[in-house]
Amino acid sequence: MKREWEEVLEAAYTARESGDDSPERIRSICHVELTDHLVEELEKAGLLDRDETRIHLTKYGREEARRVVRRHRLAEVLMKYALNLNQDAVERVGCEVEHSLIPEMEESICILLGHPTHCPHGRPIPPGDCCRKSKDVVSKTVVSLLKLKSGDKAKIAYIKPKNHSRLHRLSSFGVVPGTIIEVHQTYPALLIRFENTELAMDKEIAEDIFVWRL
Amino acid sequence: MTGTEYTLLDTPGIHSIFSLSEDESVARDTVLASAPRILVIVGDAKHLTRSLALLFQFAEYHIPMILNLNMMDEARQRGIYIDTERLARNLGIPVNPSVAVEGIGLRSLRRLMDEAKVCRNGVPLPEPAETYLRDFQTILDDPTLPARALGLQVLTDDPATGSFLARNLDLERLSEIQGLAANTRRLFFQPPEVLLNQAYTRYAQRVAEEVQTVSPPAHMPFAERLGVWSRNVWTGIPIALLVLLAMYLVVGEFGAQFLVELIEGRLFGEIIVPFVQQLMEPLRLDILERAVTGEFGLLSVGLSLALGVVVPVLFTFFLAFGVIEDSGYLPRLSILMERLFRRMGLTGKGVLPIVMGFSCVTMAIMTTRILETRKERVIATVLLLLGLPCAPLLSVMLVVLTQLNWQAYVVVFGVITLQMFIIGLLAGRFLPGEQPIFFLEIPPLRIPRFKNILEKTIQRIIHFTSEAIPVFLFATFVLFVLDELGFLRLIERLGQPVLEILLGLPPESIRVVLSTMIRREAGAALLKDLFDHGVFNDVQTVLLLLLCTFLVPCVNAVLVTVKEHGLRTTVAIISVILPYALLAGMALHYIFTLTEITFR
Repeated sequence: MKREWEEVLEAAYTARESGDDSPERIRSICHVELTDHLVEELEKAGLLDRDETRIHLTKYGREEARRVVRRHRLAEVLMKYALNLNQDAVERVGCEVEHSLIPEMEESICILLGHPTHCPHGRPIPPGDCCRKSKDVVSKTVVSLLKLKSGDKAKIAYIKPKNHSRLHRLSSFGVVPGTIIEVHQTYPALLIRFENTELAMDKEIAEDIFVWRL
Repeated sequence: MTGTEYTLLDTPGIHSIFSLSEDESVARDTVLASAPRILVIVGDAKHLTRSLALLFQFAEYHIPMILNLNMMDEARQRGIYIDTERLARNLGIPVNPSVAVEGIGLRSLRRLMDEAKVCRNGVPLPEPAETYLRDFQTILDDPTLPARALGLQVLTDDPATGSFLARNLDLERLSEIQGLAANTRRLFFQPPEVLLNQAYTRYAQRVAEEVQTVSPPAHMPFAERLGVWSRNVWTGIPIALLVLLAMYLVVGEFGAQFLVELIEGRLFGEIIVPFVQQLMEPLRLDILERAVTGEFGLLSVGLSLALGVVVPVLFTFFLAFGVIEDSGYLPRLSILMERLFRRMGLTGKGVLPIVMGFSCVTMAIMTTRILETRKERVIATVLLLLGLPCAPLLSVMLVVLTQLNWQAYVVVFGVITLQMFIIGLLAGRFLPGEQPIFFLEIPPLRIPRFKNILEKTIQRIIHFTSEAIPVFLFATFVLFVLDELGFLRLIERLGQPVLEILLGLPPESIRVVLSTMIRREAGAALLKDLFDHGVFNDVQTVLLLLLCTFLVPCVNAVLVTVKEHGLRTTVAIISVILPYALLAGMALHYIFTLTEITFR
């Protein structure tokens, strides 16, 4: 979804939440300029409804808006309480993250933070699936490859780019984000297997490879 | 075949053209420097994606190509089926399946040479890279050069391409290109070579999916299970010991005892030498008789030791070693030894050159190139030069050891292993340099083909005999001349005090030292001869065997060290080794005297 759309959805949701969802209010809190053209686009996409005086979210639009708002507020909690970042950074990064957080990460963050209900500004965080099922075990955390045991399967999330040539070597063997690997042994060296490749590596390399447990 | 003649250039294996490692850069430098007419990309059929990614990278050079997919048999065992005809249509170049070890697909590859074509599949790269390449092409403005390939190499900062362009472009355009590349690099979050690799890999994945079906077999094949056992600590160490025992049975028992007795004892000792002696008797030329069949005779000592002692053991050794080499066992040993080798400043990968050293130290020093850091390479070279008995020396050692008791085996090999460990420990601790990393692909375990091993063994033996036998004979002849002129006695008398007091050795040991200096196993072989004639006792023999190992590295090994590490490092290494060898010999003599050990 386009960034501008998400901004409009977020503004409409927040306006409604605060009890004043007049077009003027929405326009004033929206981070992008709310042009007629933009509203038309959203209407066409089935996210907004419009009559003479008011703009409101459709059912589908509300769902999408909830997700954007949830991501934004989760990110704020993460940064303020878990990472102790300053207010300015919280605002800036929060606005970025709402557009780019992928679902797996959203869920993991929510579980890690213990399903927070309110953002640092005191506004409610729309609950997600994980909150409703009150999951308390993170099945989707990113961990270092070093943490896996023999027999574990995992999908590579990212590789810490500490050393260029090393990263390049790994990538030329097919160790890239998205590759699904299986740990075969951890001592005396770590051995991973994927497709038809077996790679042995020491813990210095393994600790820089981060994976989703499967 | 149309009778066209081709010169084949074989480059080391490579995973990506954007590589910084020394041995991998050889391949793309060759392509740049020699402008080949055809590129044959030899890919592993088990790893189609990887092979294709490499192919697409080389395609940027716009040279006619053929893709040869090798190890089709192993791919099939793993349930991988590749539609090579469809792949050839997709790529627009000939694709040749092969099983090279069995010679399958080699003739068809030769036939396809004339049909090589430029692969025109354009791999979409990240947008900043595409824009950069278009600008690069405009600046380069030379249709004869492979603009995309050069551009990509400049982007990844390849020094060889840099100097190639420096030779071919004026300064202005050169700096424009460098500025362009630097700006583009700034647009990436990751090093450009990583992003490019990912783009080629993704594209290759798509092509591979279209032509490949994979249905893994329900049961793990036995070879694969054995492969798993051999790298696991609990099962792997017993397997390593079994491998060692099997080596000993083949080389020590069959080679060093049975074959040597047969060839040296019977053939030379009882048939050839007496026969030649009989032939020469009527000539009544004393000096000739001595030169050929005397104490330092070319035939009785030189040839009979070389062909009767060294060659048979060497033959069995190379056979056994070939099996280990071809089976893919060594990388598994690397995993087992990783922790131990780490203590010595190496990684598990160090196993490869060190084990290779038991075959030929010179070759092994060249293989140290596969190690990642300079520190590892120096440590491995020191260990190799210092105390590793190479196959010919090992052969003579085993022959001598068969006449001594088991304690002799323990002392000789125990001291060699122990000193390697101690020196490694010290070098790892005190040599400056970065922490090494261990990263190794483990190839599948395969049953080696006897025919290939036999061929390789015969080649190695031929290489050995053609190189070593003249030197062997030369060493014997030098001793003969020195002896005839009376110099030998002089040197022996001069060296006697040192040898006797410090090392407890008789003056004749000078002869062993002299010929060791010419060629290590020549000295050891002479030692065996003198031991047979009762000149040395058992303790002195063991001491001399170890001295032969420590004292003088072979001339070739020293030359290769100079080539790989430079003269200064080599001189430094050698000047540590020589005093060390003498000190170690003295220490051993002292310990042997103190413990009153015997080896009979």
